[in-house]
Amino acid sequence: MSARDDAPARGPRFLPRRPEGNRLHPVTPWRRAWAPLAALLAFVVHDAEQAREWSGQLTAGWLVLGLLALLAAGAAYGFLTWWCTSYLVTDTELRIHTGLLFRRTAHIRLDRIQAIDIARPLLARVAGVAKLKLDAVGTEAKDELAYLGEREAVALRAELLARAAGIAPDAAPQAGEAPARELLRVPLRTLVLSVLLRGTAWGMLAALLIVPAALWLATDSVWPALASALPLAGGFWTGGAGRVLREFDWTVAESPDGLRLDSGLLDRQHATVPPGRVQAVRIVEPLLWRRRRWVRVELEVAGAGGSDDDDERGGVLIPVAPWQDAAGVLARVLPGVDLDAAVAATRAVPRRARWCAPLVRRGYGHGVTPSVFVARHGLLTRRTGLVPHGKVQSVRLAQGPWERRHRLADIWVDHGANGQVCARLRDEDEARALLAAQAERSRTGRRTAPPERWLTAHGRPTAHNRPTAPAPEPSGTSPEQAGTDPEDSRTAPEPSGTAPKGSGTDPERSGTTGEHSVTGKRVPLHKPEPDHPDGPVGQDGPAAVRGGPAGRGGPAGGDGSAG
Amino acid sequence: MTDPTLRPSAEDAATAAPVAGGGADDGTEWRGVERALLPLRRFVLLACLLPLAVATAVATALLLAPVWALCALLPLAAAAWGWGALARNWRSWRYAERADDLLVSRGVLWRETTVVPYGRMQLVEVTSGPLERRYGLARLQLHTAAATTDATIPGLAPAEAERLRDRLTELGEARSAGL
Repeated sequence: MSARDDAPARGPRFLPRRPEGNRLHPVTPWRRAWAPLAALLAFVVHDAEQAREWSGQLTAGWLVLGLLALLAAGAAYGFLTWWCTSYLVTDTELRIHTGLLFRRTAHIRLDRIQAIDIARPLLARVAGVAKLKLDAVGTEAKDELAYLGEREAVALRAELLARAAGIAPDAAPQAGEAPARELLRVPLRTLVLSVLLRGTAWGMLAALLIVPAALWLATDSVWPALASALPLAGGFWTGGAGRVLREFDWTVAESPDGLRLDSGLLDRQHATVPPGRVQAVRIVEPLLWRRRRWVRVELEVAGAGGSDDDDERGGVLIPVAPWQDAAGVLARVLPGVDLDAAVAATRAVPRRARWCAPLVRRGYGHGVTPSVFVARHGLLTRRTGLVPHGKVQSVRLAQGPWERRHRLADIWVDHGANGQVCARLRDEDEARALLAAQAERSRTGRRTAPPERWLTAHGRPTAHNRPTAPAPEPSGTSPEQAGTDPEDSRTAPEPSGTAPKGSGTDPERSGTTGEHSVTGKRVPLHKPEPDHPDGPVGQDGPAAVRGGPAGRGGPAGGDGSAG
Repeated sequence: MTDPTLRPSAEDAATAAPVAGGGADDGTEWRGVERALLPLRRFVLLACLLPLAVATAVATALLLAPVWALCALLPLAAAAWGWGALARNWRSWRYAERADDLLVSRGVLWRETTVVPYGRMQLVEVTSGPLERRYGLARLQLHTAAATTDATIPGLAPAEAERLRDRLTELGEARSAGL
C-alpha cells in the first residue's frame, strides 16, 4: 500500500506528466464523467423555454450524438483528473497531488492529523470503493482521497495512523489495523425512540402539514404549497428517518489508534479520532430524554469538523445513550474526566441574573473540576460543554453595561477546535477570580497531556529509529503548522512520574497513556526559564509533548530526550 | 463611570507609560497604548462624519426644504459624542505582560479582558497601515489555534510593537504547547 513502489511516472507522450505516487481506484473517473451531463441538465432546468426551442430543431440522431460527445468529453476529463491525481506516503507526510491545469500539492503532516474518516456511500459500496478523508488543522475542507479500493483504504488508514502514532517507519506499513475493543453500540430501538422523543422531527412534521395546507388554501394554487413543502420535507427527513439511517448501528470502539466510530445503514462512515485530539465535548439533553437519563455526546475536533450536518459542528460521539454508558465512554475519550463530577460541580447563576436573562438564566450554569471547564446553557435542550483545561487556548471576560449594573460578567473560553464555551452571568468577583484561575489551570493542565505521537509512550521500539532530524518542511496545508517539529513528542514522559504537579488533576489516567517511559529523561516540573536558549522542549515537558502548531524544539530537544 | 482607569486624565497618561494599579489584580503592571491613537481615531471619525453632515445638509436642503438641513446636526452630534467616547475608549485600552500570559483589557461600556497564555500563541503579527504609519503607530495581533481568540493591541509605537513581538515570540517558544 505504501508508495515506495512507484507507478511509472510517465505515460504516453500526449498525456501530461503523472505526478509520482499511487493512483486512485480506476473507478474514480466515472464519477466525473457525469458532470457535463449534469451541467446540461441544470441548464435545461434553469432555462427551460430556450431549451425547448433548441430541442425542437434537433433530430433524435443529433441529440444522441451530442450526448455521446458530452459523455466522451466528461470521460476524458475524468480520466485526465484521475491521471493527474496521486498520493504518496512518506515517513512524515502524506502528499496528495491533484489538478490538471492548476496543480496542487498538499503535504499533510502525519502527526498533525486530527481524524481520519473512511466514507462508503451507497454507490461506492456497490463498486467496492471508499473515500478517505483527513482532518488537519488549519484547512477549511477535509482533504480527501476518492476513491480507493476498500481494502486499500483500510490499509492506508492503518498505515497513516501507525506512522502518526510514531511506530517505526519500516514497521508501519505492516502494522495493520490496531485491534479495537467495542465500548458502546446503540440499539436500533433506542435510536428510533430517541428520534421520536426529539422535538425537531415533530416540529418539522407539523410545519410540513400546516404550512403547505395554509398556503394552498390562501393562494388556491398548488405550486407555492409544493415549493414550501419540499424544504420542509427535507428538514423532516434529516431530522427524522435520515437521522436513523445515518446513525444506524452506531458503534464506539477503542483501539490504540484512538476512537473508532462506525455508523450508517446505507452510507457507512468509519471515523478514527486519534488520542488527545478531542478539544471539547458537548453533552446534549433534550427535554424528553431527561426522564430516561439519555444523552447525546458531540465532539469537537480541530480541523475541518466532522459531519456534513449543518446543525452540529464537529462530530457526534454518541447519538444517544444512557447517562452511565456515556460517562463510561467519556472517561475513555477524555482520560480523567468524570461526567458525574463535572455535572455535580456546576452551580447555577446568582438570583439577580434574572434581570439580565429572566427565564433563560435557569439554564445557565458553570463549574470547574480538576480536569475540565464546564458550562451549560439551554432550557428545553440542555447543552453542557466540557473543555479540558489543557485544551483552553485563551480566556476572556466580557461585561456589558447592564451586566455591570448587576455585578455580573461572562467568561468565554476558546478551545482549539475554533469553538468557545461561555459561562454566562457569573458573579463579577467570581468571574475575575475565574479568569485568573482558568489561565493558570490551562497552563498546568497541558502538562498532563499525553504525547502527540501517542504510541511513543507505550514503550514500543519507536523513539530511537525515528529519522534523526526531519527538518520542519513547509506544509502546504496549513500555515499554522509551520515551524513545528515532530521530535517534540519524543520527550513524552510518563504522565504520572514526572508531573506530580499535574497528577492531581488526572487521577484516573492509568494504562492508556502508557506505563513505560521511552525517553528515560525526566522532565523538569518547574517553570522553564523564559530566556533559556536551547532545549525548549525539555523545559516545557509534557506541555510541548502535545506539540501543537506552536511546538518548537527542533533537533536539539529531540536528541536530548533520546539520549 | 467609576472605573479607576478613567481617572488618569488624558494628559498625565503619558505615551505607553505604565499605568500602575489600573486593574483589580494587584502586582500587574498595566501599560496603556500610545496617545497618538486618539488623534488617529478622531481623524477617522471626523473624516467619516463631517462629509456625511455636509452631504445631508445639502441634500435635504435642496430636495425638501431648507429647514430640513437641520438633519445635519445628527451626524454632528454623533461626532461630538464620539469625540469624547474615543478618549474614554483610548484610556480603557491597556495590556500587561505577566509571567506566563498576556492580558489585554479594553472597553468602557462593554468591557473585555482577554488572557492568552504565552504557550498558546501560534503567531504574533505586527501590522501598520498607511494612516497608522503617518501617526507613528503599529498594531499587534496575537493568534492562537482558536480563531475566536481576539487579542489585538492597536496603537503601539513601532519600536514597542517590535519589542513586544520579539518577547512574545521568545516566550511562546519557551512555553510552547500545541492544541
